[in-house]
Amino acid sequence: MVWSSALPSFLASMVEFVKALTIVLVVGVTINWKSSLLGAAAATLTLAALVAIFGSTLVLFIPIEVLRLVIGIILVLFGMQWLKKALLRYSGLKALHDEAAIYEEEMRELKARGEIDPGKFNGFGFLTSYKSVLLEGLEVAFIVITFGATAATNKIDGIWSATEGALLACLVVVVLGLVIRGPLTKIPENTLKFIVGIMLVVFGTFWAGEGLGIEWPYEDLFLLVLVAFNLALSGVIVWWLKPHGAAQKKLKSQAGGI
Amino acid sequence: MKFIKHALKEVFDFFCGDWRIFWGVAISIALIEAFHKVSALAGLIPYAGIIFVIGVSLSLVLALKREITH
Repeated sequence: MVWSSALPSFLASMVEFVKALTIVLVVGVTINWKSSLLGAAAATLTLAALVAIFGSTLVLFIPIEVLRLVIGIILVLFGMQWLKKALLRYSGLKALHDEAAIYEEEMRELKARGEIDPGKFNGFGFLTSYKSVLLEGLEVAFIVITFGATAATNKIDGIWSATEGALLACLVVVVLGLVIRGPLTKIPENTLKFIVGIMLVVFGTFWAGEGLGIEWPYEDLFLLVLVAFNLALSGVIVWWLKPHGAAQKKLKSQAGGI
Repeated sequence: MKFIKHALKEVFDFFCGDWRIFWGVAISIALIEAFHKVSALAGLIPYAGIIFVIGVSLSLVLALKREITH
């Protein structure tokens, strides 16, 4: 098991699968489980095909040095997106994801459509489930391929470990979903998003730097320095943004009171 | 044409989603490349790592600054 591939995949997958499961549950409860589960299964197969096609293309045709530079740059850009959203949520400038509210809203929308036969395959239910699992899963597939292909010396081992991490996350989320039978509001989505954001930015900076000819001191151990730096930077950013978040909240509540 | 523009925007939003971050990272990379290509800047090569990390971090700070000024 290559941990540097499996762990980011596991954490990122948890975040995305929770969101996907919320929609699959809504479709299952409001339309029927047949359409919902078939949609989710079809999306999972599409994602597996994408990982197999793009993963093997990367493994077979692109040298590791080129991969590290290109993937490093993409990971920095991708990770910044996650980190930015997580920091905005921590500071109160963006609302935290509320899976329960999303669940209720989706339920209302689907019920409003009416004309549902619970025993019959429903194309709309299938497509809703398929689309949500595919869209949420695309980010996971991207992380599985990029981390898998670059983190390990043997790219096949890396991709396999990253896939194992994602599958384990899927299993955890599905089991929790079955136990709770509702949206997974207990999973701290923003914390997971923040951790994955830090990991993507750190690995991305490190690999892109290597690709640009930067010789990091202490080699791989410098990753820990980058983690510490990014955590400290995030702390300073939240401290800087929090008053703005509080001011925005105050403004909104005043506007609501008028 | 409209479809291509829309597709490109979707790809950009999927991978980055913020022009400040994009340009910040792009300029940092161009700067590090310049250290190796321009002999007058070769003296900065030992500091390339620090400059790259600062460049990437500044991109994030500038992107967040935009969120509070809007």
